[in-house]
Amino acid sequence: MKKQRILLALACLLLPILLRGIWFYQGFYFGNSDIYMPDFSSLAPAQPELSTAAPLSLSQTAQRLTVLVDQSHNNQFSLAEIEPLRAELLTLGAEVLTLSAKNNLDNQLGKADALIIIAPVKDFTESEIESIEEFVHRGGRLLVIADPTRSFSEYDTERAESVILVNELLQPYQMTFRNDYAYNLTHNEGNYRNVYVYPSTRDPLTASVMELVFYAAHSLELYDRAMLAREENTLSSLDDLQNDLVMAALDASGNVLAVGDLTFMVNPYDRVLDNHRLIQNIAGFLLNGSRIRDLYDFPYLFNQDIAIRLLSGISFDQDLMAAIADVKTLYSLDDLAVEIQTQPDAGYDRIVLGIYPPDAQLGAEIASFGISFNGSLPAASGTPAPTSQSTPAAEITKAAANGNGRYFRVPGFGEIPAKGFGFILLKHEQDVDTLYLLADSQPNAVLLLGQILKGSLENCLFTDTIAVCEQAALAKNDILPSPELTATPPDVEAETTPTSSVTFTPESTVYPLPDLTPTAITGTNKK
Amino acid sequence: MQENKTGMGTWLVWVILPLLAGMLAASFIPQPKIGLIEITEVLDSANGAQIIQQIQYAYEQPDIRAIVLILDCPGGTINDTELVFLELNHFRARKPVVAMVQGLSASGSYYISMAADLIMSNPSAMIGNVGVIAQLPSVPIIYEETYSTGPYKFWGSSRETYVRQIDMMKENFLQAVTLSRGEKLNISDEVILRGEVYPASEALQYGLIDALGSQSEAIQAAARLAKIAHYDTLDLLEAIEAEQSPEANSFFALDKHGQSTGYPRESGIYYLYIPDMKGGLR
Repeated sequence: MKKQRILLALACLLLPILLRGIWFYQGFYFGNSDIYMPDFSSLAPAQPELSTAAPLSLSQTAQRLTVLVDQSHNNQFSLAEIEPLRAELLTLGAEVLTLSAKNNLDNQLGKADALIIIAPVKDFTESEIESIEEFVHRGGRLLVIADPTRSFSEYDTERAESVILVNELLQPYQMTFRNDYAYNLTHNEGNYRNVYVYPSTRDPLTASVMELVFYAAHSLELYDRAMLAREENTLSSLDDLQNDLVMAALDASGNVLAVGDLTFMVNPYDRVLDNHRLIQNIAGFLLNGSRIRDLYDFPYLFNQDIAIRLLSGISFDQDLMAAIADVKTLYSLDDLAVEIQTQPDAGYDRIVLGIYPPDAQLGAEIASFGISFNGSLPAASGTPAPTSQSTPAAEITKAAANGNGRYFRVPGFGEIPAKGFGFILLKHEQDVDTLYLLADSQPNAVLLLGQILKGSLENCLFTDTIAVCEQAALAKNDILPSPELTATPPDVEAETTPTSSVTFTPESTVYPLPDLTPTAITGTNKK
Repeated sequence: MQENKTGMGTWLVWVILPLLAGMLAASFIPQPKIGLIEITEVLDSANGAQIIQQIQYAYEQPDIRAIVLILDCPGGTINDTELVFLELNHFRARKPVVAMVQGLSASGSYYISMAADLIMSNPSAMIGNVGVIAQLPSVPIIYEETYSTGPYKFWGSSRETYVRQIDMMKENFLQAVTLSRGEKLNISDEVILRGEVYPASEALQYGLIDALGSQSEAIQAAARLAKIAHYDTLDLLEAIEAEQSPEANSFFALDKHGQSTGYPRESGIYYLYIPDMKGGLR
């Protein structure tokens, strides 16, 4: 009985506890034993893939070649960043010049063999784009680099997008940068945007290049010759698809190289894998163009020191000395010496100053231009430049210059009055370039020399190798005084034959020569 | 009559008194609570420390049987995010954690939800952004008047190394996601690492979260996990603040107006200069 009471009391004691416990707690939570955490101790940063490859041996070029680096379009890089490329260019004997905002691209291109444009964010003028196109057309090498991390100027209010600007430049070459960046989430070099890139063709640009890393790179489309392509799983940020991403390409002519990344050539990234080899190959590419110097590049026609040769009929006077001194100063800016030599030594380019009609020796030298100084041509006008046999020296007579109504026949120009015009002729021979300046008088010859100082062929019609300049127009804009010409300007109208196909317009300072000769490369020399 | 008295006494002794004693004892069984931790600001050192304090408080209080993280946060520093994550995992070994996304749980915020037993969200909340962002350290420079004993004493690491460390942190994040979500994940590592932010409904399809719902449902889910009923909720931040006097946070003792007296609150030996004391001694 007593036991029952104790049990009852115990039950009464526990009941409220039990009820309250059940009211609140419906089971026991024993904790979670399935707690997974990252293996922090095993995490380590990926190590950089540095290359230990030996440098390629590239030979120094004999000629002094000039590479122009554009910095006139608010380009989003510093020279220090492209030092690995610059060092390779200097090793190869090139001169690397920078084009600042003060310089005129059109002018400076004349002296350049290659042009580097990196991440510009300031518009190119139409004139600049045309000049670059002409430059490439004449064998100049063009390297265009766009980089997604350099698309904007942080401080510019206009914020022109670099990729748009370079695409305008590349449009004539059938290449377009996509406004994207390549990335790879599974196989990359330290970060998803650091992608592996491989050669897609074997050519000098990809020689000895097996594997590269690009660091946030644009891809290209509408390419002619894909040079470097991404690896399989690399995607474009534009569509997140595995398109056939091309990271660098050459145009059809082989003169324009477009690369979608700058960082790969910036220290220390230039040391990763074969990046430095690509830089070396790009340096070789820039210096191995077949740049044709012609009158379009006037007066930057020379790659070596210059000898001035004065022909008979030219005597030293104050004006001539002043003009030569100015020419010397001009070329000294490009580290070219100018000397007066009666018999120019080897290793010199030449400027020959003379009075036409030429004597027998000069006639033979310039026979290849096919200019007839006696009013009749052996071959029809407009044919390709005649050989020396077609314009025998015997045909060149001094009488041609003296008589009124006489004319010279110049291939590509038609008939030119025998007085009042100067000729600038450019002749390429092996390792020697010669510029002939021929006028009807010493003062006019000096005026032609002064044309070099002007830095362009204003008041002249010109083809690749022949320019015809109206001396009266030169005298009007003369740097040097020419009292004789000012006093007695030649009567151009009177001396022009009705059949002349050339019309001079004194108001205009630039004379393009579009369709006079189908074979001639024509151009306008811009200022 | 005597028998009746005896009977009533028996009831009193053996039934009523034990029942009252039982009721008294039962009253010591606390009503279970679910702690609420609101994370609505960027996780920085101050914010992170406060969250950790709340987690520790909930861990120590026996009546708090679970916590619900209320997330509306874009993430924060790697360090503070990781500290909160580790503290939550420690808590979770004893009590359940539910994450409730209300608006946004991106990057570091999503990282800490990897320490939850259940992730819920309102349908239009945005979730994800797995990855790391960082500003590269300055290009190393050297000063004429300031000397250091190594090239990276100022900057900690080279920029190149820093890039790789960032990627290492990303791996850490990815592991946390893949291990925590396990087989529930319906997307590949590649897709996760794209760093996208998804609407919760899409995140649910990808297995980045467990369910859509309201805050009340999240609290109910926490209660189910903790196996409790008739619970109450407790704002842990308010609870901590209520327990702490203003003076508790002050190094100096406060006067009745809550102003600092300029004297240390706790007795001890200090290397301390108190300018006001100079005036006092005068």
